[in-house]
Amino acid sequence: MQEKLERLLSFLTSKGARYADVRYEEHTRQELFVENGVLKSFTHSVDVGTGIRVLYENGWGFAATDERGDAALERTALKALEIAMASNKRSNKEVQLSLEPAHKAAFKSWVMKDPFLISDDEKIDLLKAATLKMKENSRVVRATGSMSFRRIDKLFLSTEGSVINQEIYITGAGIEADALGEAGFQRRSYPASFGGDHATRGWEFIEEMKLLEHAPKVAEEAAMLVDAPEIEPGEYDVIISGNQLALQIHESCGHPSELDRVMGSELSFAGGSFLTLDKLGKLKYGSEHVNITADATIIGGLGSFGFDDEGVKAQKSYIVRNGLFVGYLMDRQTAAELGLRSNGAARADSWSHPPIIRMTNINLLPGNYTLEELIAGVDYGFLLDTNKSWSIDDLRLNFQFATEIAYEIKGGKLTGKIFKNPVYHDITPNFWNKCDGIANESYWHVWGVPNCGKGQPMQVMHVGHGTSPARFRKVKVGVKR
Amino acid sequence: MRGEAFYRNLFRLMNEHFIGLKFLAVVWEQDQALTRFANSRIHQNVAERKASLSVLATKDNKIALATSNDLTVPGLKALRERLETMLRFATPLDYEFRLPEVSMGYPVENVAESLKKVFAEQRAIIFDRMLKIAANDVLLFGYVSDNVTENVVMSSNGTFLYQSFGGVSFNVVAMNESASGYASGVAKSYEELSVDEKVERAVRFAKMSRNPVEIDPGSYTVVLGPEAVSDLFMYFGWLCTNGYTHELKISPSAKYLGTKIGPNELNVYDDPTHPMQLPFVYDLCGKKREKTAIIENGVFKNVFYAHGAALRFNKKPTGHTFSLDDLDSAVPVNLVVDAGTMPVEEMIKGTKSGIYVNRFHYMNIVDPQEAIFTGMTRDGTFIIENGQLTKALKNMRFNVKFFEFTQNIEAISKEVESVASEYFPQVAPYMKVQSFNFTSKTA
Repeated sequence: MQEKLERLLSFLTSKGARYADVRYEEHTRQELFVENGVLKSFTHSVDVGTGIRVLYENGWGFAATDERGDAALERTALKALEIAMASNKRSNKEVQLSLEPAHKAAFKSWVMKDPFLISDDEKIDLLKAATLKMKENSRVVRATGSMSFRRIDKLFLSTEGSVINQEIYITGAGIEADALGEAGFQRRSYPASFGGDHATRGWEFIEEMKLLEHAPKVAEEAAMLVDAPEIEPGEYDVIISGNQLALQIHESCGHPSELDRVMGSELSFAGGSFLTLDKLGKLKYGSEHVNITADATIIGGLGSFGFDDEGVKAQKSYIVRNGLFVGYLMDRQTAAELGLRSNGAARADSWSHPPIIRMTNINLLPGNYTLEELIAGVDYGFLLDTNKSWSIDDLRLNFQFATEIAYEIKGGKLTGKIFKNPVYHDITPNFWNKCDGIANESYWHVWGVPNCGKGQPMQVMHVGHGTSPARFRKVKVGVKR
Repeated sequence: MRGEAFYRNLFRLMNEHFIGLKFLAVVWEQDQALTRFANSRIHQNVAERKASLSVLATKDNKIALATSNDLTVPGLKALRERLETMLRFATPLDYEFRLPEVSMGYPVENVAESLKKVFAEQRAIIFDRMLKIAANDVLLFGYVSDNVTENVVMSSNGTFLYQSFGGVSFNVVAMNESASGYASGVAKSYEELSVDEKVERAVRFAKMSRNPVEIDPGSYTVVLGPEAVSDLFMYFGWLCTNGYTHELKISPSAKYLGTKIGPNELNVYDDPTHPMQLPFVYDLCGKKREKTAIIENGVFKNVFYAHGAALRFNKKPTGHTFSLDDLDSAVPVNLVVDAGTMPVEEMIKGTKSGIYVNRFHYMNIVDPQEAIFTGMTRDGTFIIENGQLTKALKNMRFNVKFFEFTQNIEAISKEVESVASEYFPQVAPYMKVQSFNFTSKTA
């Protein structure tokens, strides 16, 4: 295949392309979904194709095909070139790419147990057992469990001489219980909602989740939530659990730090960003406790890889350091506009789409507290756990999150009382400046978000967020009505 | 486009290579291209062509689904081998599974001739037209896209259905410093695409949106544009019309189905036959799709049953199976909120004090039991005073209980528009609504 792709690049150069790259990818995926002990969906898919990106003078073109013959590939290359030429005709801005050495390299995810070599029986049995365990609770009407496994084989070549092979594994699972009572229905999920937790790891990641052991508590809390009260609206001190903070970081730090958004490329769809260029190095994004990195090198993080889809080596950089906003997520073109080098955030979700700026692993670095110490510092407030809903404005300022459950804290201790339908709301920098403590690294975990949507055509990317629980003072809670 | 003949041959090959295995197969083939612009410059310009074949096989009341984009004979053999292995490990369903009944029909082709050979230059010409309308007053951000889709449903019991449809769409945000306006459009071909009027509106709103003022959160009379109306009903469609969750009583429909939820004038359909919709004539089980009422004369009339849910609960499938890996979930893809009787101009003129909302942003479900939705306003929010849009308003967050919102509908416009959504287009009117609940502002 490599020779075939090299010929394509030579062909494009001969036709006048200033730069071109090509990605051949094979995506293999297995998914299992069990409900109330019954295997309801068992799927396997293979998706193979080639994407070709061309820069002609100052116009970009991209074309992709799942056809595999030489003629089809050449036709697709010509289409990418034709598109680039049409773009170039309307271009009034010079396109520059930040420097990147040519890499000849290979990368493979850190997998101890290849999930595709684990027997289907073992996977199905675990999900059946976990869902039946939840169903033992008489209020649980629907107990579900899911697993998802992906292997992505990528070959990237560019006219600058890069040849990069990558083999990336993605493994994920989760369980959910829907409970019903006279007061209505409620859901609890583990280890996270909307499909659970995911990582670029192997079957060992599923084993560490201990789904079966957690199933009874998931069911019990779902059942208890049905009759639980709602929080009286007001301002409270809150501790936000790691799996909810993951989405908080995702929406209020990850997305606004994408430099293509800042420059307007996403404006008509997902919006822009309040982190405009004038704020770089100046905005007090959060309190001094807040340190946020973009780090694609974390072992097993869902946003980890060896090289991004422009052939830039994975790296770690700061977005927020000691509360100060200091950096963006960048690709080669936007980095060059700031006179910087790309920090390796250009990613495509498939061979059929071009790379755009995406999160890698965007992490809130751990602090020095134990969770008990964070709780001890709250006179009256709540521990909010597991995302239920999210919404944020087009500049990433005004957000509102709902979580599945709130645990009451009184006099520095958890009381055991729970509340349903908690909702909290704030404005991004106000919120992060209210952070006065983050739990230490023993609580730190990289949560996987497998379904981040961005771009047109829509791309769904897998990204990670390292978090420990953190405490925030005087946050508006209970504002849904 | 490979055309019906190619897929008839594929069907023949499948029957040849899947002997002894009961199957339902679906092919999606897509040729899609999209030109994206920002700051009045094209920054992304793409085309993709792909096909996938998904085969659901069943044996001993077990099911397995395998998908590939290799439509060659070796590809089919590999799929069969994969399915045989999966069926060995699969476990039986807890209801009696049957493949859908045989469904036959003439091929349905809804692709405009002009869409069969589209070049990037044609999308760029639309962009040029937009720029001309914008002049140098505003910057434009958005996309222009065209696609041709072929969908084939085949089964071992003899079903062969072919449908193709094509469409073009665009959206545009016009920016005047930090002020913005938005519009989108959908049509079956570039010739039919109404661009100028909508871009003019986006530009007009951008200009009107300068120097926005703030108001306190609270309950206000609103006039919602078709984009905003469409968003609210799309979330309603997703959350409240799935027969499976209805039967489990974990859907708001368990409480509201059959009740009067709005004025007589409120009529909402799933309607593949509507002239402003893209026709999705068969679902993925080959069930013919017809115009079906969801809300009629203000009464929440129907929820929908996908193939699996219909078998499980002894209901008739309604033509809403759109995923072979989830045979239970049903969703209306051709959502049409019907026109009312009042001209929008009159609706605004008759509003002494209120808020006009052009578009919502990032809606989500806050409470799935009571269908409470949240979201932000964006790209054209104005104060209405004495029947006129007088001042631009900073963006506000709303939290609205859907079934209170419908009860508070005061008027529905006689004008409807087809708006581009993430998936299928939606048809929606303007609505005047009382007591719309804004809970915060972005100061």
